[in-house]
Amino acid sequence: MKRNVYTVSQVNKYVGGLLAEDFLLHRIAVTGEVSNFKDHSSGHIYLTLKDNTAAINGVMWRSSRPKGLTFPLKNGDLVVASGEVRLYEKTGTAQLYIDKIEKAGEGDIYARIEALKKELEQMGMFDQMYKKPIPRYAKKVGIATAATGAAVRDIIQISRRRNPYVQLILCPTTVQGEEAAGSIVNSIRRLDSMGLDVIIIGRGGGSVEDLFAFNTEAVARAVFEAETPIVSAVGHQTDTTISDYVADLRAPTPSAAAELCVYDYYELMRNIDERRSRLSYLINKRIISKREEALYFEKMLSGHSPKSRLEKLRLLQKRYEESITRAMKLGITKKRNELAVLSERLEGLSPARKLSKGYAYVRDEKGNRISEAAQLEIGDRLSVSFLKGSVKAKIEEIEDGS
Amino acid sequence: MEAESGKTVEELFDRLGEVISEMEEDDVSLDESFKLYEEGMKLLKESNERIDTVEKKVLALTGDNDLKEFGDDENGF
Repeated sequence: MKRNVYTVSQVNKYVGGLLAEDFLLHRIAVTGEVSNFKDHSSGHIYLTLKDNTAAINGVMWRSSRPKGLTFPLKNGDLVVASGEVRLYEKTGTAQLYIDKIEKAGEGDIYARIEALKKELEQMGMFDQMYKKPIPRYAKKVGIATAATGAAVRDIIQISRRRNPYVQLILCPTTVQGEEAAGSIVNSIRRLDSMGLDVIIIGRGGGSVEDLFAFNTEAVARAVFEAETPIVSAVGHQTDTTISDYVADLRAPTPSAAAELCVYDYYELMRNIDERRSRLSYLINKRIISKREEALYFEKMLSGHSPKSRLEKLRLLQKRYEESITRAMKLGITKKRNELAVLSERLEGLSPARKLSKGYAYVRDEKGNRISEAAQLEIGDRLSVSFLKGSVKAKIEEIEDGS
Repeated sequence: MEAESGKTVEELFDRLGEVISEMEEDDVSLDESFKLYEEGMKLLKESNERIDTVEKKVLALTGDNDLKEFGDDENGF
């Protein structure tokens, strides 16, 4: 199997690439003791940082010196050097390209911030229970930041866009350097005494040294003791300072702080309109449904009302009447016909017709018809009816008619 | 932020929300819904009055604690 063989420079180049991509090495602070310190005529500084088991070479280019080294450096100093680790391809060794050297111990800024943070945390200054709510509809917003620069500009632009009717009050503040902490404390106190709805404190991005004032105990106390709710917006999204922890609300950036403190007027108006139409919709719906209900009841009511019942009855009555009269008529005519028939038959049977032929209709005293002589005895009284008139008779003699 | 009713805009709005959800209950009598409707409209009127619509200038505190206009031009924005 054929092996890949590389040249030294290919290997060093490759390793250099790896180091260059490493996130940590890209921006790192290294602490150690200075040795082999050489202040080169070119103005560049060469040194070695070592601890008791290892050493690394470092170089500070002339251009970084003014800001990067502010005290006389000598071998044996314990320092914190921040910069970037890259491979020095010529010798294949990792080297620290330094842009800032500080004395370690009191100089090590991160350690001091961490220590203070722990201390304040233990004192409970970060506890949620002390956090005051940020008012949703602030009318007066205080701003403690530099009068020049991006932070105040962003805050003003965003709050104007969201709500031109909110009063912004800026307290020009030094946010960097020695007097920054005092200036911030002063601004917080002045703004706090004005009875504002909320105060934004903060600044734009910067190095840990630039933001240092917001990591001091003085500022932390001022924020904690303020009556007015405070929103802390220091540096970039990724920077978190002690004032962020103590404040009532941390905003990632000054612009975000403006959005959190200044309500959107137009959105509020839309919201009010929505609720107004919701209210009228609901009341109309209710009225309409009640009216329908009323109509329904009315219908039902009128359905059963005496008036209509009377009408119904009258109607019924009329109908009955008609049917009765009809039936009556029918019955009458039927009866009349029957009568006619019967009377004809009667006529046929009627003794009167016989009487008219000289016959008589004989009945006893009690009115019973006598049809046979055997029914009688001598002395019985009879009534005999002729077509015209009738007589009373007594039996004298009975002849055997059988 | 207080006004006649002493209520803040938040309180007005929270109550408004309650009024609306109460009206959405279907077992609310007609009189009840009229009463709620009236209250709702009153709350709307008051929230509107409360919303300040006077355009504001940005002010800056000066050394001796009074306020002056914080000009845009001065700071180039």
